[in-house]
Order: sequence, then C-alpha cells, then structure tokens
Amino acid sequence: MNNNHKDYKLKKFKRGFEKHISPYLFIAPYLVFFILFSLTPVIMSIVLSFGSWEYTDDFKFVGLDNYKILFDLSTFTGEKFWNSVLHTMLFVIIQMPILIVIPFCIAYLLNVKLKGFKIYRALIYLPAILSISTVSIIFVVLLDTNLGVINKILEREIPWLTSQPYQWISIFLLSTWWGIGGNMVLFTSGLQDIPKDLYEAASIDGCNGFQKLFFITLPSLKNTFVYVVTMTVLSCFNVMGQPMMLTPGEESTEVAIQFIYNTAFGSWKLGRASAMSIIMAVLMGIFSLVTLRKALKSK
Amino acid sequence: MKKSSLFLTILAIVSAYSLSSCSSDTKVEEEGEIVLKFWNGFTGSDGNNMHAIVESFNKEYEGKIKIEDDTINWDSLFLKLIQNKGKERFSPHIVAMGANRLGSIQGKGILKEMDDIVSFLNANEEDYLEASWNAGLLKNKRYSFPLDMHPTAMYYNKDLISEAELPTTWDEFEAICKAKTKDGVYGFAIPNMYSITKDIVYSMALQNGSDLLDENNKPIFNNSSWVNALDKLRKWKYDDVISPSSVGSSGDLTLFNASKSVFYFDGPWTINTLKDISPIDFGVAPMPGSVGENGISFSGSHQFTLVDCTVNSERIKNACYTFIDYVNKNPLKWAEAGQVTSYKPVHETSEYKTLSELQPFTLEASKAKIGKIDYEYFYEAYNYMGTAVANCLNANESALDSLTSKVNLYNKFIKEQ
Amino acid sequence: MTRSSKEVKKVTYSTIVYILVVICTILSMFPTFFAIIISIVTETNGQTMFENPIDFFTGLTFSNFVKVFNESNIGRWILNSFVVAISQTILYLIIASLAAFGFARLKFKGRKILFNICLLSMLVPGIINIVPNYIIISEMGLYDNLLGLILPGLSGVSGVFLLKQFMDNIPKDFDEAARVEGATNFTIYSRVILPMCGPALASQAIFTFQGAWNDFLWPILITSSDENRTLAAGLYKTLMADTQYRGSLMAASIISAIPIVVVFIFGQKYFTSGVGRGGLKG
Repeated sequence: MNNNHKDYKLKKFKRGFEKHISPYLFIAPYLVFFILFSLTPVIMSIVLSFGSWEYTDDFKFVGLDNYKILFDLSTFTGEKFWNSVLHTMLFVIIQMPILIVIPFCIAYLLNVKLKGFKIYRALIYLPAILSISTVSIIFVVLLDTNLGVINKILEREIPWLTSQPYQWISIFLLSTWWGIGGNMVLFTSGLQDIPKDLYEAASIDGCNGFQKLFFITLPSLKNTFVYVVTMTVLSCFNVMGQPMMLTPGEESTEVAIQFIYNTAFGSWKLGRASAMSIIMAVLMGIFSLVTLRKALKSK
Repeated sequence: MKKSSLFLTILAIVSAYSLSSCSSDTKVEEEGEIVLKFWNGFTGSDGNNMHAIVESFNKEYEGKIKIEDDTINWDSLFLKLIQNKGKERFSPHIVAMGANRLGSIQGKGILKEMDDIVSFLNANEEDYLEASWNAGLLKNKRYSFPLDMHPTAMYYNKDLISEAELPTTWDEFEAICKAKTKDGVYGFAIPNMYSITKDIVYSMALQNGSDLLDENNKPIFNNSSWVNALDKLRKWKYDDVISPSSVGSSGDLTLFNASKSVFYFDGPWTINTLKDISPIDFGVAPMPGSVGENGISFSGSHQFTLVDCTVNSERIKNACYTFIDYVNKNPLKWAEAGQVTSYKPVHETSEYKTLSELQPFTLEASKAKIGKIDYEYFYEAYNYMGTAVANCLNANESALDSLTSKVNLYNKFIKEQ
Repeated sequence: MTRSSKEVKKVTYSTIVYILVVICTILSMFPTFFAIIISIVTETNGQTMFENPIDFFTGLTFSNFVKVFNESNIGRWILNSFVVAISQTILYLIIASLAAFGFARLKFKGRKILFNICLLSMLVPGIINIVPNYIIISEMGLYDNLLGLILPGLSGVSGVFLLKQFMDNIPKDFDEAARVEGATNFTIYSRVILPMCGPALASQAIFTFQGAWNDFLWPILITSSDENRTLAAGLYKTLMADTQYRGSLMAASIISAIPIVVVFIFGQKYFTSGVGRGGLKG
C-alpha cells in the first residue's frame, strides 16, 4: 500500500510538473537569450541616451541634453540627424512600392508555371542570398563612371556614384536588384495557396484574366500583402549598407541608421547615437502601426 | 534528453574552439622573448612590404624580440584603439598612423610619451625630414616618431608629353593642359570625389601663403587664398574644360591608364599600382610650385606611436624603440612600397636612387608641410575642406560658397564638442 | 469563342509571359555574370577589354583568386565563418523550436503577453542593439571570441515566429493521441511535433546560416585578433582597400559568396518555396 501511495504522489508531481513547470522550461533557453541580447539592449540604449559616453572616459548623466541637441535644428547633430531621417523617408517611400509591385508581378508571371520556371525562379532569387558587401562591391565596379559595364553599354559617361540624382538612382537600382528575390518568394508561396477551383469557377462564369486578378488573386493575398508590406517597411527603415558602400562620405545620401552608426563608431559619441536610435525606434513604431492599420482596413 | 545533450556538446566544442583561439596574452616575462603587437592600416600592396620588413626584423632578432603585425582598415583600427583604451590584452604596442590623426588620438589619452626615443636612438634632427620630425611634438612632448612622408606629385603619360614640356608652375600647367586637350584626350581629369584633389587645393593654398587653420585653430579655409585655389580647379574643369565633367571615383586613374589624360595626381603609393595594372608608360614630376626656392606643398606623414597601457615597462619600451629604429634604418622595402622615408641618409643610397619614380616625391617632401596636426580636430577640419572641394568640383558650385558652407558646418561641429 | 482562337490566345499569353520571365532572369543575372567576367581577367586586360574584346580571351587567368587566397589567414577566416554559422544554426534551431513548441502547444500564464513582447522586438531598429551588445559581450569576457559572434544571434524572434506558425497548423489530434499514451511534453515535442517540422526547420536553418555567414558589421566590431575574424570581416579590408584592383575585388566577393551559393543550390527548394514564412495562412 505504501508503494501505491508513492506511485500516486509521483504521478501527481509529474502531472503538476508537466502542466505548470515544463512550459516555462521550453521557452526558458530562448528567453534567456532574448532578455540578454534583445531586451536589455533596449533598456541600455534608453539609459545611454540620457548620458554621454565616448568609450575612453566614464559614462556621465546629462539628462535631456542629447535630446535637446537633436530637436534643435540649428545644431550640427540636430540638422544632420533630421536630414538623414528625411533621406531614410525618401528611401522608404520610393523603394517600398518598388519592392512590393515588382516582386508580385514576377511571382504572378512565374505562377503560370511554364517549363523551366523553377530554374528561373531560383536564378531571380539568387542575388538575395548574397551579403550587402558583396552586392555593393559588384555594383561599385559595374557602375563605375569610366570603366563600368553599364556605361560601356550605354556609351555614356553617367556619373552613377558621384553625382545626384544618379547616386540615389544607383541606390534604388541596387536595392531593387537585391531585394526582389525575398518578396517574390513570399508572394509565390501565397499565390500557390490559392485554390485552383476559384479560378475554374470564375472561368466558367466568363471572367477574363484581369477580372480574375482583381477579384480572386488580390483579395486572397490580403494576408500576404500585409505581411510583406510590414516586413518591407521595417527593412527599408533599417537601410544602411547601400548608401554606405555605394556613396561613402556623400552627405546627400546619408540615411538615418548610417548617421547613427557613424556617430557611434566614427565620432565615438555613444550617448547621442543612442538617443537617435531611440527616436528612430519611435518613428518606426508609429510608421509601422499606421501602415498596418491602413493595410488591414483597405482591400 | 538527446537534444539537450547535443546542445551541451555543441556548446562545449564551440567554447573549447573559441577559447583556444584567444589571442595570446602579451604578458612579458623578465627574461625571454618579448612579443610586440604592431598595428597599421596599410591595406594596399604597401602592407605586404611592411610585412616583409617585419619578417626580416623578426629573423634578425629571433629569440629576443618578435613583432606580430596586423593590418586593419584605418577606421576599424582607430575604433579598436579607442574601444580598448586601457585594456592591455586587446591593445597593441606599436601603431603606425597618419600624422593627421595624432591630435585626436593623443587627445583621447591613448598614446605614450616617447621623449627619450631621440636619445635612445641617437637620432639627429637633421637626418629626418623636417615636417615629419616635428609632427610628433604635441604640446611640447613627443608622441610619435617619423616613418615616412607622402606628398602628392604629378604623374604624366610619357607618350602624350615630353619631359621638356613639363610645367613647374600652375600657370604653365594650365597652359599645357589647354594645349593638350583635344581629340578626346584631356589635360587633367579632375575627380568628382576622390580625396587627392583636396591635397592639391591645400598645396595651392599653402603656396598662396595660407593654411587650413589659423594660430588659434580657427578654420580659415574659405579665405581668398583658398577660394583662389579651388576656383582655379573649378574653372579648369567647367570653363576651360581640360577635364571631363564626369570623373567617377578613381576615374582619374582609369582615364589616365586609358591614355585619355596627360596628367594624374596622387601619392607615391600609386607607383606600384600603376606598375601593376597600367598599360601606359608613365613618369613622375614634382607638383607645380612644390620645389625650388619657395616651393611648398601639403603632405601626409606616417608616424610610429606607442600605446600607453601596453608599453608599461622599460624593457618593452626599448624593444619598441629598437623596432622603430630598424624600420627607419632598413627602409628600402618601404621605399619600394612607394613611400618617401623620413630618414634622409637613405635617399642618398644608390638603391634608393634607382627608384626613379620616387625621386620627385623625395624632392617635394623636403619642402612639404603637414598642417596643424597637434590640434585635436585637425582631421575633421581637413575632411570638411575636402567635402567642400568635392561639392564645388562635382556640381560647379561657387568655390566661395562651398568653402564657406563647410567652414560654418565645421564651426557648428566644434561648438558641440 | 472558338476552341482554336482560345488556344491561340493561350499560346500568345504564354509566350509573352515566358519572354518577360526570361528578361527578368537575364536582368537578375547580369550583375553577377559581369562580376565573374571581371574576376577571371588580368587587371590590365580588364581595363581594355571593353574596347578590345580579344583582350578578354588573352587575359583569362585565375591570378586574382590566387591573390585573394594568399591573404593572410584566409583559411582560418573561412573555418571561423563555418564554425560560427553552423553552431549558430544548430543552437538556434534547438532553442527556437523549443520555444515555438511552448508558445504553440502549451498553456501557461503570460503566454500571449510574452510572445507579443518578443514580436515587438521586430519593430526595433537593429542599430539599437549593437552598442549595448558590445558592452554586454565585453563584460562577459567574450570580446574577440567566437562565442561572442554566435550567442547574440540566438535572440532573434523570426525563427520562433516561423516555427510557431508552422506548428499551429499541425492538428492537435497528434498531441492528444500521444498524451493518452502518457507522453510528457518533451516527448510530444521531440517525437511527434518536431519530426513534422522538417520543411520549416530546413527553411529556418538556411536563413540563420545565411544571416550568420553574411554578417560583417558585428564581427568587425567584436573581433580584434586576426585569428578570430570571420571571412566577411577579414575580406572587408580587401574590399575597402583599393578599388583599382577590380579583378581581386570581384574575386574576393565571389570567394565569400561561394559557400552560401552552394548551400543555395542544394537547399534551393527551401529558399524559394517560401514555406512556413509566417503570416500567410489564415
């Protein structure tokens, strides 16, 4: 009888463990890393933003000084920061639609599934797996004013990387070439999920291609679009590599994250850089929420 | 349970691998070999030459001193110096850096004083190029010892211009460029963005009697000397059209190599690049106005510095000095890399003289100036001036406006420090 | 509409689609194609070959690649990159799938809130984490250490999200059946759910590997000695050095891209199927 009682207690403990403790054990390893490397940094950044630190001396509190400088457009950092934010917004506004429409069109075309399209899809996707430094170097060489392939083909001497508006155009070209693959694949997945019967039913009803596109395809992809738009907006806000490597040192293409990075690692002013990144986080949060609301409402 | 033991095993293996790859401690015993870490930013082919010098030093001093050299991009190098200030394990002993950064790095308290190196090496001031000797003297203390100087000289295409026609003044230069610009060939391709153009403008301003900063370290690079200099270049490019209006970064070198331009300006490190990749027959002459009685031009200089936290004993310090001396007394490899060594006696040797392309640079270096590098923000001022030059030449802006706008921006920047 | 004119329409449509797709593919391949071309010619011929195409053929060489491989320590850099990328991938798959299972299948207090907080981290610009992580890693004594390269990457939420989405689509009956037989949570995780997550795990493995392999900003920041550099960080100085040596530049970028391209060729369907990328179903 003692054994039965022990068994019963053990079972009860096991059940309790399974129900109440085990779930936390599952998420614990991940949470450790999340708290250490994702959550704590945010808090540290907020603290840093109220202070001044340049690696070599001690950290000291300066209260709202950093923010005061940043919100004063007549100061050096203030003016440069908001200019860089404008440049980021320019990038977001122009690049985002490109990165939604073109990949969708390509995915749509590929969905016709003719012979060899699997290979073409892979080839179109390929640039997306390369690193930013690889793709930037390729474009720096390709877009060279005097020796670049593009100019040789066009037989002009377009100053792609040294004069506006070509510098921005180069950045958009690179970002488009590099970014198409990622979104294209998402749309492909979404398109493949649309049941074929919907299309067949529509054909029977006498719908043509355009009507099918607007009344079946796009509505079915609503969730995909929401996801793609959100992710693309976030990644566009985070742009840094393309201007940094294509047009280094150029003021008119300096984007926000790039300026923050240069402030932290070039000018060694970490307090100010942290304040700027906090402001960017707030801006991104607002922008994302607004975009999300709009996307969820429409369609 | 299999998964967690897999997890732990991986963690263990990776930890073991990582810990084994820790950089060796540079703790130095009282006896035995001294290991010194030497950082530099010579990422081009000149880095290989410096490495060769390090190797031959290590051979000669085997068992006594060993130099471990590492070449990183300049920006990363300075960042690491700053980040690891005071951390002996992650800091080097010796750093070779450009003189224009001395002010800011010393201002951060990273460098060690080297006042006694002169007596240790029995070095004579007259044996070293003047500007580079004085570079190390910041606030009356010596923080660096010279390695080289690298002025900007005039490369020319031997097929497009003969030695007799080479200009020695800027007026002659302008005339010959105008004469030679025809049939798709330009006199001088003026880059939109590359940095050497600012050194040309700086040289012209020096020749006009001015400098980047005045005695109080206030920026004066928008005064008449500077405007005059920059406007000359702007005029050449857009009014006289001795240059194409679109010259990409490194485009001046590209055009020069394609025999589309007569002249090309650059530092001595390009000698080897041209020998490597250029299809043309090129020569080098001093920049107009840089030699002769009143000759003057702007030059950079590489200097050896010691890091305070690592060079913490007499023994280590002397070992560092020994290496610095070795490089200066065995500089042929460095000269072959395309640098004018600061140590003058080398210039008289026959081996040095066979480096014919280096001779014009050597002539210039004896008269060149390196700017007010002791000022903490000299480097920033220099770069702002460069941006002004780039903006003006890129977009045909007025020289006065470009320079003034950057002087103002620089002043704003200083206000915030 | 007669049958034949319908077919004509279909064929025309298909042809147009085909042509458009081929054009897109050519445009996509164009830059990489020329990168390869430039990397296999000598520097001198590389400059003249546009005017004089013969120079391309006379200048064919592997010397640019040899030059890059003679870079100090490139073998070590490649090894480091593999160690970091593979370790991070395996470790992340483990902890992310554990967490995803917890969030997807198990009920506990705060489940929704915790998950949403983790999701919110996606809104934070990456730059916020860099300096604090540098401080944290230094304090942990992992500066200039490969672990310092591996560990911070384990905090990303995208894998947890992806795997959770995938698991949400697995019918709960499997769990129930196993529970009836007295299985613990861990058994259900390891023997029932995880085996079914193959495609999602493969996809996430590829994303993690790609991210770790391509990252260069963080390794540059956190490594000091030459032995600890990853390939991307080590080649960064080559890439930034001298843009005149176009051949070596292209060779360096190709070398750093080869491993990930190989992974791509073999794991292609996981890249391009977009499987399990969250938010798509329902």
